[in-house]
Amino acid sequence: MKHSTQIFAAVAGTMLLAAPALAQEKLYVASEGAKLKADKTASSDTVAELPVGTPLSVLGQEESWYKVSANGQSGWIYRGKVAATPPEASKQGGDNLFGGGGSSAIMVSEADSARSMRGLADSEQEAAKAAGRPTRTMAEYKQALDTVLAEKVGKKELEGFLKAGRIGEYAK
Amino acid sequence: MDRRKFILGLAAAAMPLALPGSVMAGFLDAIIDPNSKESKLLSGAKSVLSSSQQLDYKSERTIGERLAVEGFRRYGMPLQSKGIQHYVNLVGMAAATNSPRPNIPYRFVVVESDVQNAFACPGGIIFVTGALVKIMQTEAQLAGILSHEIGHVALRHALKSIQRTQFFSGVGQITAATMKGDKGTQFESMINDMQNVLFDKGLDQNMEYEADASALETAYRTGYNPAGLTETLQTLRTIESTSTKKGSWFSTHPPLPNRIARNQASMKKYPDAATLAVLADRFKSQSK
Repeated sequence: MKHSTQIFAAVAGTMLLAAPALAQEKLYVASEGAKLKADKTASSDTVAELPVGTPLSVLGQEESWYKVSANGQSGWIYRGKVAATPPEASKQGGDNLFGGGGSSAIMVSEADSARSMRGLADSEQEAAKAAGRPTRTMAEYKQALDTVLAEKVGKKELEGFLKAGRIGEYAK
Repeated sequence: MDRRKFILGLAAAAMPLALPGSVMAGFLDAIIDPNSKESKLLSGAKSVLSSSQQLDYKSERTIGERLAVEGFRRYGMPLQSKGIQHYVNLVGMAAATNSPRPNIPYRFVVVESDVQNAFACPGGIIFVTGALVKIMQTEAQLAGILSHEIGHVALRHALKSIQRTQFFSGVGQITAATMKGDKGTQFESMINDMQNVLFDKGLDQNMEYEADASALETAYRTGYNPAGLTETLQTLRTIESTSTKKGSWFSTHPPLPNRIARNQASMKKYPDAATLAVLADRFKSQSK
């Protein structure tokens, strides 16, 4: 095992060992789009949407749901939405899961010239020919990337997808 | 930051959520003593943490986008079917919401390639080849593989693998200036190193095991049967002898029997796994 990996394992291990003692009383919202529900079913009213990192006091547990209180409100939350420690995301602020990927930051001319600087452009063209692959320009690759980044999934659509598949909190 | 401040900072950050005061005091004593085992562990952690935390998300994403271009070049262009691309994004996003890093905009792409593989670019652009999707049979299996790749992104494995390259010395943020001149050459060389790791050499074995453990957890939390990942590994094992190795899952991941055994052992953490979503029919109709 690498030295650095060992250290990580040790640090992570220390934190994991510490977690179970508190798992009963205190949990944190660990998923995007987590909802506090009026009852232990996804079809009940939504009491509140809880941001990642929200601390929860656990009042009880039934089946796959925790009864909790958060910010002075109480309700039920699906077990998959919580963790014993707040996730990294809530500590760092981060971006937005449902945000646009935008257009890529690659500068076509610079990437192309950087590659030719390494003398790779020509050899790649040859390699592509030899393998029977079409040779493409950097602009074509950039366009493919922009198409990938433009592929967007909305919150509502994702909910519908989970519901249709009876996944997680929509299982029953 | 000096060593003592770092240790105290780390301890303070961990304290409220980790240990009761009395235990914590003993732990603190141990790490403040520079010759203790704990202290040595943490001083090593310092260099790892500081180098992986230097980079902001935008810079991480820039590296990922550059690597994605190399992914198209190496493996193939995105499959033309809009249906499968959107489906893979829905499954991937469902898992990503419950991953250890749920707040970055992930994107998933199926590329035209006869080689079975999947890999993750820093920042959250995740590739899976058409050939790998073809050997899967259920949505839970797809969710397992995507969760494994999400795990690599969340744990910043690719970046950690190449953080010692020259490019990162003195770079906290990638800007137009860092893409030019000597730094520009170093940037390209760093991208080359990362390609070498992701497409040929593979990540460190322990990172793969870590991503597997993370994948089981993410799939389970989402509501998919976490056995899906292991099932795909088992299918890969049955076709291993007749498949292309270069640039494939076989050559870039640890031996399949080890991983299958480890994942099967971890299933005891998920006693109700068999009651969770599998979705063979939806997968069959959507993955075309």
